[in-house]
Amino acid sequence: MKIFVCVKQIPDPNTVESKLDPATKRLVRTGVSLVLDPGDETTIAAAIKLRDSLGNSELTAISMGPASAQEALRRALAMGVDRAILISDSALAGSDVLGTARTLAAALKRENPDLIFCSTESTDGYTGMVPGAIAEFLGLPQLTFAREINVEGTKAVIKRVTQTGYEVVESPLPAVVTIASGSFEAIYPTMKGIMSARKKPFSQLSLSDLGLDPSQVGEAGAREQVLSIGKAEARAAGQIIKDEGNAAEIIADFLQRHQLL
Amino acid sequence: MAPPAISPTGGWIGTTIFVVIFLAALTVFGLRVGQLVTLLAKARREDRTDHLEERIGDFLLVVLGQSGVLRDPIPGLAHFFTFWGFIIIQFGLLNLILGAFNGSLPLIGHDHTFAALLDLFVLFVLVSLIVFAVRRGIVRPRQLSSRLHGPWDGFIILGLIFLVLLTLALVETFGFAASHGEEWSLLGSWFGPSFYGLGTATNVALYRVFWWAHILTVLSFLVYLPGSKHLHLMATPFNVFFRNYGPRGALPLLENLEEREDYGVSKAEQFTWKQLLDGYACTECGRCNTVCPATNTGKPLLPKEIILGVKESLLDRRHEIVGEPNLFQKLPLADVRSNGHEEIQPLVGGVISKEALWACTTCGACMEICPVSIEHVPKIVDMRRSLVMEESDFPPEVTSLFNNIERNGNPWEISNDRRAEWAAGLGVPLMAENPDAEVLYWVGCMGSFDQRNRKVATALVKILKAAGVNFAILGPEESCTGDPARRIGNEYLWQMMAQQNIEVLNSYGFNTAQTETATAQNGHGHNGQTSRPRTIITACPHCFNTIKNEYPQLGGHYEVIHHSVFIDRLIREGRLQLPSGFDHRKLTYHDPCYVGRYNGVYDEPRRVLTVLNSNGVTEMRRNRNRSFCCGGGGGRAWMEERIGKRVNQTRVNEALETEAEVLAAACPFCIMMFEDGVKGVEAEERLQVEDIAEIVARALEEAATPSASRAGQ
Repeated sequence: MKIFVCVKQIPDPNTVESKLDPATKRLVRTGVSLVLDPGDETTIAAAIKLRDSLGNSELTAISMGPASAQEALRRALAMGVDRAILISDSALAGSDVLGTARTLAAALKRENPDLIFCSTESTDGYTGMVPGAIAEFLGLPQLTFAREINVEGTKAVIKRVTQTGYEVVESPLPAVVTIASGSFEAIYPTMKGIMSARKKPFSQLSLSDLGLDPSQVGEAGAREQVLSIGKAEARAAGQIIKDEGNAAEIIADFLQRHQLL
Repeated sequence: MAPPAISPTGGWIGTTIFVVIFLAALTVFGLRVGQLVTLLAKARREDRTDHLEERIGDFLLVVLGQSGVLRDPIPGLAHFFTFWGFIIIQFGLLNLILGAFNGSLPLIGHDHTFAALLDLFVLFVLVSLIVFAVRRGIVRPRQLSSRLHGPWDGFIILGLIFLVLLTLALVETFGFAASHGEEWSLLGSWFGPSFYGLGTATNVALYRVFWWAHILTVLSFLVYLPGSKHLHLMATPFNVFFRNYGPRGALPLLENLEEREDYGVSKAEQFTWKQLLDGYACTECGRCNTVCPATNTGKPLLPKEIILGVKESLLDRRHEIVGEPNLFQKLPLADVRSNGHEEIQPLVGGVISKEALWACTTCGACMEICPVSIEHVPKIVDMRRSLVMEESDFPPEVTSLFNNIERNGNPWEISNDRRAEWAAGLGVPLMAENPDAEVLYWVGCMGSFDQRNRKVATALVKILKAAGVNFAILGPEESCTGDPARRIGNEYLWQMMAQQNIEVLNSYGFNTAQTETATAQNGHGHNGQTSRPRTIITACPHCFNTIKNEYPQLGGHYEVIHHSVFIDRLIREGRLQLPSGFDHRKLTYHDPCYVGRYNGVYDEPRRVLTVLNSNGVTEMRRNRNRSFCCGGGGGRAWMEERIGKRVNQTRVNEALETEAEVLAAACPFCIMMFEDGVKGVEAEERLQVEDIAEIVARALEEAATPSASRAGQ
């Protein structure tokens, strides 16, 4: 099987205080430390697990981004991905969901994938719309919020996380699958992984390779507009419950109200 | 070469039989030892021929003087006499063997003084045997038991030694009786005359019977020895001679990371020959188990089992290591096993459990107490290396530690840009602002980011300023030294961090190996007028140890001083004026492993504390080189402690036993672990945890304003 995983390089969410450029209303990505999206690390772990259980399968990581995104793909290769594709083109700068999905879908289409893994959302933009858009561009079914995935014959079967538990959902292959965050443990690369990552196939594509017109992507092709940006409200102080004999009851009520019980 | 009074074999037929048996036993013994040596020859190379003079001196002291075992006086003395008895009995044996050829040893063969000395040692060894047997059979200290080797080996050895003594005594008794005192011996003169009544013919016959019994016992011992724990008798002298003379705190460098095939040890033969010789030398005394903080708190790690596990795995795999089995290798090697499993288990995760490897705090107590110079910690780290770098198999909480060190240069999810924030408003220059600073204060991650240890850093700044030291910090140019990564087994990450830090330190001219011109040429403006090495100080023993002892492996040579030593120096040079005895609280001092055992700093911190405290230092039960780890070393500070009692609480309870009000330490990890431990045992009201720098800083305040509130009041 040909399995793909879409990944993204983002400003390190753990250390970089997100800065927004008031002019472009976009996240500042220069001069900050960039990493492979930690969410994608767990999605890669899910894809590697499936590849290994299937046997005779190839896993390719694909990313759209500037040249620096090579580093994120190297990390994916070190974790155990077999091959990497980077789509990099100056015309892609400023792409919105539509442009990003269009580009990734064009590159994926050339590869005839059987299964495409995506994280539910990126840890910087959080739109959560790219996987759906890719599925739409490719005309493929999409399975969402998977916490477990198996291939049975020509079907993909997942356990889909719901508010109360999970449901088992299946779809014919090829399909796009999004992985629910926290369902898999990220893989810390071994030395063999790190060393072999330097020798694994790595291809770089430009827009013309994909047969896309610069007007369809990037700033030019963006259909999405950020109207304004502002600071999120600071989190309100929590509620402190003093135990006067009924604390357990109050906590139970609170949890029930939030459907946690 | 005078002939014996009675021929022990009674003629050439007997002597021929003796020669055949003797050569056969010697051959079996030789083949078994040959196998053991071949295995060492197949192991990794390692040079242990430096410091020859010290090697010879220590050899005399530890092997001939038995200084290692004598630290534990009762079994130590018993061992001392057994060791020397064994050597002297060998001469007696040689004399008896020569008797078969109608000869005797020159000079001592018929010498009464030697004969008396021999028998005195027979008696000493006999007493020692009783001590050993009582200890092994009745007292039964836990450390003597072994999961890998059954309890019988020890008793078989004791039994064989006893038989050697008994048969020797009988030979002497009947030799004396048969020769009517011509074959003089002390024991013979005591017991021989009682047997005159049997008649000479019977006495000669009995003499010959016991001569054979003695010879056969000794030969059985010889054949049994290589497969038993008594192999130590041959291996220990070598192990002591080839012990490590490098810095004790340095783990071996894993070279050529880019081109290696393996990263660490997953199979016994990947160890160096010296690491494997450790297994042969192990006497299974279990002293290491008695001092190990993991063993003592119910973790699945027993240092002795690590050493025996490596040995067992090596012997199990000997056919694979040496090649096609032939007659030479078919001889069994390990005779006494408690678990007779058929299938060969893997070394890591089989013979030795992963949980055992992860439980190690690398405190080094096991290596400190081992009487035969066995190196436990490097083995544990070697196996951790394989788990981390080859299998990516480690406690899950370590993943974020690795990622953070790699990405942020510190163990947390904090940008390293904020590294100097703790010093805001304290007037601490960065190296970039004060490139000619004489002293670089290496703050470390704990001092920079950990709330509790920032107080220690602030206190140390106060001290440096009071003493007028021209110092600076690196701020964001400083990164994690990589110590936790290295000790957890991530050598790659350590080398990455070390190289990065070495570059920064060299750029400011701290490398003592750099020439004056190189210093003058570097772009950072240190003018290099003097070639006087500039000093790095740090309050973190882990930073201290790795920069001092391990960075040289990558070309970084620095003069690094632990803050406790630096403060002591400032006081002695008169640069710090402190009110002596200002602190009236009862105080105990905990020796951090990485300044104490690994770097021999015991006196300086005590000297400082003794000056400041009116009561001096009240010692805990385990102190100085026997100090009991806080539980934070070896990367353990970053792992969950899921099994057994808490190491930190165990040590805090020891401090409480002294009824001290202050537990002083000189390590940010100890401070962190103890703060936690004090809360854990709910002793916040009774015990304060303080760094030595904090106490000194308080003394300075006291000196400035004597009326200010006095500590402890």
